[in-house]
Amino acid sequence: MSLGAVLTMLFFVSVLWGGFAVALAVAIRREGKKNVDDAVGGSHPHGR
Amino acid sequence: MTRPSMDGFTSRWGLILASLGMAIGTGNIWRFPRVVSQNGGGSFLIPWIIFLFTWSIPLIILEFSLGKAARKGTVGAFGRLNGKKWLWMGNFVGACALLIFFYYSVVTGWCLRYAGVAFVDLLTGSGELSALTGDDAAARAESAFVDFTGGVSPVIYYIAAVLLAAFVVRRGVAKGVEAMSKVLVPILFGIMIVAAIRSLTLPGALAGLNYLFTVDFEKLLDHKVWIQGLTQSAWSTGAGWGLVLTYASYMRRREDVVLNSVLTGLGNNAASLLVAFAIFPAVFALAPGHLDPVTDILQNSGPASTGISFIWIPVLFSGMPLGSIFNLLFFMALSVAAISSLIAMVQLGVRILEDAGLSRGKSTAIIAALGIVIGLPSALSSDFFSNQDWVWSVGLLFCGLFFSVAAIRFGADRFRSRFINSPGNDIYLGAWFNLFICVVIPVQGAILIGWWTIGSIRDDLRDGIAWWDPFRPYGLATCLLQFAVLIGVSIVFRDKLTQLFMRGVKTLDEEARESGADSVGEESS
Repeated sequence: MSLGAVLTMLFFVSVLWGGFAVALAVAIRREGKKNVDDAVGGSHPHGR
Repeated sequence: MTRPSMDGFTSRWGLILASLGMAIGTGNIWRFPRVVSQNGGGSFLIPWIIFLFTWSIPLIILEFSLGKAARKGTVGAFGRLNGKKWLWMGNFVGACALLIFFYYSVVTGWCLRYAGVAFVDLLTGSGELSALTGDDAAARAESAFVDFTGGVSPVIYYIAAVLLAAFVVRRGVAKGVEAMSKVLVPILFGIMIVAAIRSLTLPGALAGLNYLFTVDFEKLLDHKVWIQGLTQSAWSTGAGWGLVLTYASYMRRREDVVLNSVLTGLGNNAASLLVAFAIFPAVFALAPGHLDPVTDILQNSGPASTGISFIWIPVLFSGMPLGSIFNLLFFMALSVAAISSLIAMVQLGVRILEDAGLSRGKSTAIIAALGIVIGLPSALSSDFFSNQDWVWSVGLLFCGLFFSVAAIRFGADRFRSRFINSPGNDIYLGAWFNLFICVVIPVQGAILIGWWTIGSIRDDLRDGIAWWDPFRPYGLATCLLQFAVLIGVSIVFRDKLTQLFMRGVKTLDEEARESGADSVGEESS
């Protein structure tokens, strides 16, 4: 594989798979926090 | 009339998996490798990823937020947003997705049939697919595919596909759609990962990766590469179909919109990339040496370019160790992807009929019956199938445009602050997103539709074909005629539509005024 192809592959893998993994991790963390808030009767702050 | 449905997604993960199941379909497995190859390999990936962020994800956000706020299917949601005069737009979006459902079920039937054959092959060790070796293997595989699709047996398989999807939808959102998605989507990803690992470990696999990721910047000057990038992105993610809106109408009240949309869009394209890791190395590693270029397999083989999935994959996999197992895995993945998308389409139709006051049972029976009756011509005639595929895939571009027009009509800033930035969000979007609603989406849609119109007429004039003939399967006129019929029906029956979908139903603004609340999203239904 050429160096250009390797770099392009790394770019797409990091944006798509890396992006998906990061978004999933954030969602799992937030969901966990919401569940804890719900369990203790707290509320979720939200802005506009 | 319009009683609220108590059924809905029970968890965020159920909603995300169902959305991924909806988005990941045959477009990822069958269409994506072909379109990449036809448009310059790695060069195509650049517009494809740009349009993911400028068209698909913004539209998915609009759909998620409107569905969550309106708690209706496509027709009712457009009415709740802007009033009864806008029902026709929702009707167009819903009808477009249903008309795709009618022929998509035929493709799903093909996938089920080939998965069945691959399973029998694996058990017996000497069947239709595993016997495909030798120089004339591709010709025999193509002949087998043409014989199959030209006969009456596709009818049996597409009816089975419709009934399977209807059975899942009939069970309800939580017990049917959500439960099935929690099983199907992980299986789909598992199969794709196994296939990609096997493909990448074949001798000569790197040539496929080199082709896939080599960017020729000159190709980026070709406008067709950009148009195809947008079309593939819209098709593959399901942005603008109304399917996300339908699922969102069943989401929990305090549920995120923005991050779920990003997960759906990124997850879909990540799946496409995974499929590319499975297909490209395998084709380059296993293709017979006399084929030049190898990419011909990906680009042009088979009727209507169906060759990569239904002709070459069985041939190529038959030539490698454990080929029967990988044939079965491939067609299982294709079937699972197709079925999970078909379920979303049936659910879209059922939601519309439920909004009109019918029970889930009756709605499901009607949609399944319509699917069987209207899908029949597509199962029996490849010309009819191709015409419908051509017309309604173009129609989807208008659907995407309609979502942004509806949001602009409501007020982009009001839409963003009330529906997108609704309670339960993990991420809140700033005023910059108004630019996407008002400029980026509509300009992209307008350019694409304009280019398509001019290009169609120019190509027909160049070839001496009557571009105005509405009875040609691939012309501009057949699209305009069928769009006009659809919009005309909405106009003629506008009173009936209003009666069915808006009687006793408040618009989102009326509801906000009555409740005195600013955040309408959590107030609905």
